[in-house]
Amino acid sequence: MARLLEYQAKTILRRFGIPTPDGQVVRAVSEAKNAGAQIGYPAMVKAQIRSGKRGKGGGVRSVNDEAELAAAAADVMEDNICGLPVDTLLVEQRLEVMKEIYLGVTADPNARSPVIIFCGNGGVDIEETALADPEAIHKLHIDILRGVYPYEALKLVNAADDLTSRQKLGIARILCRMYDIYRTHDCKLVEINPLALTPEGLVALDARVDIDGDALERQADLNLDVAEEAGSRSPTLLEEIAATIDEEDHRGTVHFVQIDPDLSYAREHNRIPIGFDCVGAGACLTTMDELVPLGFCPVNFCDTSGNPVGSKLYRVTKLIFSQPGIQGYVFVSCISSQQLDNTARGIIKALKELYPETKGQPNIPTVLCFRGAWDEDAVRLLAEHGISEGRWVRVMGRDATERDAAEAFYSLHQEWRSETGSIG
Amino acid sequence: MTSNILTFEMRSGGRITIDLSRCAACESKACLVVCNVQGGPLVLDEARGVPSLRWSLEEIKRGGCVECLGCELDCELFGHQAVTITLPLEKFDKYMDTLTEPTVYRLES
Repeated sequence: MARLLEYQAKTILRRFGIPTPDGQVVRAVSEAKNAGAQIGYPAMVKAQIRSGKRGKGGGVRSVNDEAELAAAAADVMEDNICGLPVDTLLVEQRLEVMKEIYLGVTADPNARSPVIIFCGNGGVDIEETALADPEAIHKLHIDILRGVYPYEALKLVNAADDLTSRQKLGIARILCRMYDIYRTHDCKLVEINPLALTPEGLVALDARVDIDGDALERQADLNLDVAEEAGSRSPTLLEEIAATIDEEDHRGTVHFVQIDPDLSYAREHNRIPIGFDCVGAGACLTTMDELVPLGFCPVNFCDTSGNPVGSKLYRVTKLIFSQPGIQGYVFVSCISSQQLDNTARGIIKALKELYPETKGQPNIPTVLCFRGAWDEDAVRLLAEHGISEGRWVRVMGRDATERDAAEAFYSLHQEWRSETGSIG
Repeated sequence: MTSNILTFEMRSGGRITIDLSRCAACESKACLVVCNVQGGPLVLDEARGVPSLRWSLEEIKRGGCVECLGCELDCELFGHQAVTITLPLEKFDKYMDTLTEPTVYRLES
């Protein structure tokens, strides 16, 4: 899933005729001051991060003049908001708000159809409203082949008794346009929260657009830097690079997510950071389940499955080894039908390039476990290229379980630590 | 004049380059063996005794080469080290420039 930043979502909204406040995207305090001068005061300063708790976390500030704007911009960009660094701000005009409304379009997996959602009480967490006052939330399931018509959306909005007919019609039109966005851009979610009733009319004060990660190739015109689903944070540069591996090539997939990008979790919890790759997401989880109790912390999730070409393995192995501070590398395939000899070739080429002086033998504990089609060839290739002979390498075949691989890695790491005193 | 370099682009954006001047004397033709096992684009140019292409450059770029990397690796072990595969990674250099700590492979054991 690709969650767009607020300013990106609002760009799409405007393209579909949904009004948003005047605003400018800035990346420095001086730019923020210029934006403030052009937009006028009062204004809003909004951190551009992927977090639903941004307002509560201090990432949305109201300012009345240039001095306040400069202070707020500096403050937000210096601090982490909701644990996330902020390098981009949206400076917007602050509008007089008479009422806030929630609008959403998403998929309902139970109904197997899109659903549009209307709630007369916007500006708050919709999940909280759903628990506290479920009757305030109104839904309409959409036949995806037929779409939604304004009169249907109007029927939904009619549930609100404190809006004029003109306002209801305006909201219904916006809901239809949101549905157009949802379909046009292969979205998982299009949300306006809140849609504000202002003296100037209806304005989307905040917006969220999530695009289906599997449809990103069809959305090239959005020109997004996106990566694997990484929760609410922005993708790391390494994740963005990993996302390009599949971009031009559909043969097999690489799913790479940095779980602990700066190793802060591993250090705080006294765990040993390691690089990690598995064939199959299930094998990733079961192998992690074996590694974590032994004191290791895989700093990345990586699934290279679906029979990827060797070049994909080369590229992603290079990325995994380029995470500073890792004290080992574990690769485990599930009982896979993919051509593991090609998988091995990718790993071999990467190791040979990264470790030219040792002809591919890594200086950190490395366990490579091949189970499945062409697994014997994979094991043979590593031996032929002299990598299996490495002091810190252990190559395992189809008889090994995830636990065997984890325990072998543990033993190797113990030896490595006592002999080399660790690294770095 | 016949070129001594055989080069073609792969689907993922990488490139394979073969220095054919080294291939005539190669007995193993290891690149061809592995490529044919994979159903790839390399065939023997019998007149010259060097690898040539089964398909057009466009067909190979569309996915004719399965990017197994076997030609380079096997040539390195059993041939005359004539094959070079370059596989660029967009923004990787930029990432390396951002690092404040060295990567493990740049550290002494």
